[in-house]
Amino acid sequence: MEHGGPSGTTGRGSRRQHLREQRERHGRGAVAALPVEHPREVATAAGRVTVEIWGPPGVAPGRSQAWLPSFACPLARNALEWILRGEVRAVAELLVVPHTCDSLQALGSQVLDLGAGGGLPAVTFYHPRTLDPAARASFLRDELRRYRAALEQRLGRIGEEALAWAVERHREADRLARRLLDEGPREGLSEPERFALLRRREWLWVEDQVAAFRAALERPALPPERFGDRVPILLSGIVAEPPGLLEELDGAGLRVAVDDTAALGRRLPELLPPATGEPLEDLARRYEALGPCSTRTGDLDARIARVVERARRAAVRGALFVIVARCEPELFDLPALRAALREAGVPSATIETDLEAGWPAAMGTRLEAFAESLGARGGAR
Amino acid sequence: MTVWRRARHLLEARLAGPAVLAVQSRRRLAKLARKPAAPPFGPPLRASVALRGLMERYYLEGRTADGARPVAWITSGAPVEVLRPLGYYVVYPENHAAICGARHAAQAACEAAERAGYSRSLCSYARTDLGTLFSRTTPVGRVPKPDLLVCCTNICQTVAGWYRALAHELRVPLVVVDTPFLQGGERPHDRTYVRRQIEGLAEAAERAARRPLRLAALEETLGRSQETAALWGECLEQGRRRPAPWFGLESFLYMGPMVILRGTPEAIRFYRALLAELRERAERGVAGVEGERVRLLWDNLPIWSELRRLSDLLGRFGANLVAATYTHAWSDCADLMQPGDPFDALARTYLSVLLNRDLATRARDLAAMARRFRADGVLFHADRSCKPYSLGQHGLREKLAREHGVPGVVIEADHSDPRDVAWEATANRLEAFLEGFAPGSGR
Ligand code: SF4
Ligand code: SF4
Repeated sequence: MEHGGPSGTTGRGSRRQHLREQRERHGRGAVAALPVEHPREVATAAGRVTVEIWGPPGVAPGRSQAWLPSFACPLARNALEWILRGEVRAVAELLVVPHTCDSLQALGSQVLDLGAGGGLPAVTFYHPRTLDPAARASFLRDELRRYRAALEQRLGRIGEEALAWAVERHREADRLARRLLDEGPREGLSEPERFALLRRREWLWVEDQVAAFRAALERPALPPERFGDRVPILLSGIVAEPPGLLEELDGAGLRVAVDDTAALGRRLPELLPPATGEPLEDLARRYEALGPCSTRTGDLDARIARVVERARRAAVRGALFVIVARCEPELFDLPALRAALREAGVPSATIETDLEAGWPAAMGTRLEAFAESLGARGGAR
Repeated sequence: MTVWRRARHLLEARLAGPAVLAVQSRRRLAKLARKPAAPPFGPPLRASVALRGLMERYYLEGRTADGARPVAWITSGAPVEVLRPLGYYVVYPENHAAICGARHAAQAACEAAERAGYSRSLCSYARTDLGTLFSRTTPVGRVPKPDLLVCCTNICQTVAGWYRALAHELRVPLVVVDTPFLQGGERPHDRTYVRRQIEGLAEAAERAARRPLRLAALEETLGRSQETAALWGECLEQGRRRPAPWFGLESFLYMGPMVILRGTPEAIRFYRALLAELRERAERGVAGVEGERVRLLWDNLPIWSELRRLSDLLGRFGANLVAATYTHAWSDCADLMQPGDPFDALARTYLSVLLNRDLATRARDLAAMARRFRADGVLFHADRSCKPYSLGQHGLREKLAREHGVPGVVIEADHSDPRDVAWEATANRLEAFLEGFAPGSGR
C-alpha cells in the first residue's frame, strides 16, 4: 500500500504552502485540530495532513466578539475568529476539537450546535480525567475506537494497515522529536530555529516531520562549552507564544534546557512503550506514557514531581511560565509548581500573553528583569 | 475520632444547637407575621424562616464535625448519595463561597487567594474557597477539615483544577468522578466509565469512613434525593402561574437545601412546606411582584453580591424572573434517579446535568422553558468566572430571538467577586432592555 514518503518539503516552507503542495501534488486533504493533544495518527491513516490551530496569534478580534464574552481566553477567541472568517474551512474538511478545557468545550459546541463553523463539520475527542487508572484505561480505548469511527464517517474507511503505518510513523516522529528536544543545541541551528522546527509537527505531513527531524539530528550536537554563557531555564505554559518569544529569550541570554509547554514537551513521551502490533492499543499506550498536563488533568503532585525532577536533571537556573491570559488549567497549577521549584532552589517568573501579533514592550521588560536576576548576559546573539 | 469530639459534636450540633435555633425560628416567625410587605414585592415567604434555620443548622453541625465523623468536601454536582449512608458530614465549597458572596465576604477571600498566587482570572468560587482556607476567615464560623475530597467534572473542568489544588494544599485523598461532556448525547462507554468511577468513589469513601456501604441505605438515600428533586421541581413549576407567586431571584436562595442536603429527610420536609406555601399563595392570587408585567428567564449563576439592587431594578419595571436555567438544573434529575440499580441511576443522573450537555440541548431547553413559563425575554448573565456556562450564551441569545422570537440581553458580571461587577453599566443595560417592554414600546 502506498502511503507516500516525504513530500520533499524540508519543513522550512510556510504552512499554507505545505498544505497547498500536499493537496496539489499528493491529493492529501487536511484536518484542522484545536489544541492540545489529539490522536493525529488516525487522521494520518485517513490520508489527511493535520494542521493545528494555536490561536493563531495576532488575529484581530472581529466577528468573534458577537460570539464570545470579553473574558474568553485569547486562544479560544483567536481560534473562533479564524473559524468564523472561513480560514479553517478554506484548508480543512474537518475540525477536531479535543476536550482540553471549558473554553474549547464551549467553542466546539458553538461550531457543532450553533453554526459558528459555517457548516464546517467537527469531531470531538474526550480526555479521561479520572485518577482511577482502570476506569481511565478502558474509557481511553473505547474513546479511541469511537474517534476512529467518527473520522471514518467523515473521511472514509480507515484500514488496519493504514492505521498501523500511521501509528508507526508517528512513533518514529515522536522518538526523533524527543531526541531533538532533549539533546539540546545543534551545530548550525540557532535555538529559535530548533524550536520552530519542532513546532512544525503542528502542520507537517508525518513523513516530512521524520525527514526534517532526521536532517536536524544529523547535525552534530553542540558540546556544552559552545552553548555560550546562556543561562539554562525551564520554559512552561501552554505554548511558547507570542511570536518572537524564543528569539527574545535567546537575546536575553537565556536557553531553554527543559521544555514543559503543553504544545511541545508535555506531549512528547519520554519513553515510548514497545509496540504491540495493535495500532489502537499502541495509541492508547503512547497516550498513557505522556507526562501529566493541566489540560488532561491527572495528579498535580505527579506533575510537580516531574517538573522539579526535570529542572534538577538539567540544572536549570530559573523557570519561566508563559501564561495565555485567563487560561484556567494552567493558572490553577501555577502556585504549587512555583512553590515547589522555589523549594528546589529554582526561582521562577511569569509572563502573560494575550496572543498578540508581536512582542509587547512590557513583556520584554519583565523578561529582561528575569534574565538579569539569573545573571544572564543579554545581547549574546 | 475521639470520644470527646464525638460527644461535643453531639451536644452542640444535635442537642443544644438545634434547641437554640428552634427558639430563634419561633421568634423569627412571629416577627415575620408582623412584617409588612415591601411593595412591589409580595409578602415574605414563611419558608424563609425554615430556610435560614436549616442553613444555620447545617453550618453549625460543620463546626465540630471533624474528628467526630468523616468529613468530605464535594462539588455541587457530585454523587453525594454514596457518602450520606456512611455518616459523612458533607461540605459544599461552592455553597460556602456563595454565602461569602451574598454576605459581602467574597472579595477579601478572593484577595487572600490572589496573595497566595491564584490568579484573578480563576473562578471566584474557587478563589473564595481557597482564600477562606488560607485566611481562616469565614462568615459561617468554621468549616471542618476534610478526610476526603470529591470532585465531579460535570459542571466544569475548573473544579478539577480547584480540587487538585485543594488536595495538594490539604494533603487529603481526592476522588475525581469524571463525566465526559455529552456533545451530541450520551455514548454507551460514557455511562460505563462514570458508573465505574462512582463504584470507586464508594470504595474510597468506605475506606475513609472505615465502614461498609449498605446497598439498601444507598437506595434509600437515592429515593430521598429523587423526592427532593421532584418537590423542588414542583416549587419551580409554580412560576408558571400568572402572576408567579414568588419572586424568582429568591429561588436562588431556596435551592440551597437541594444542593447541600439532597438525600436527607430534612430537605424533603423543607420542600414539602415550601411547596404547600407556594400553592396556597398561588390560589390566593398572591404575586411575587405585584402588577407583574414582564416575565423573564435567567441564564447562569446569580450575581450574589447584587441581589438587592437587581431586585429593586426588576421590581421598578414590574418584572419577575419566573424561571432560571440554574435553579431548574437541580430539578431535572428527578426522572433519572430511578430505583433498581443505584449505581447506574447515579451515573445517568450525574452525567446528564445541565452544564454537561451541549449547546443544542441548552438551546432546546431554553426555548421550551420560555414557552412553558410564557416568558417575555431572557437575561443572560455572562459570568466572568464560569466559562462553561457563559461561552455560548451569545449564540443562544441569537438563536432564541431568531427562531422563537424571545429577545434576550447579555450582561457581563461575576457571581461572587464584586470587583468584576460594574453595577452602573449592568443596570443601564438592563434598564434599556426592560424599557423595551413598556406599553407602546412595540414588544
Ligand atoms: S489557553 Fe488555556 S483556556 Fe485557552 S484554550 Fe488553551 S487550555 Fe483552554
Ligand atoms: S461557577 Fe462555573 S466555573 Fe465556577 S465552579 Fe461553578 S460551574 Fe465551575
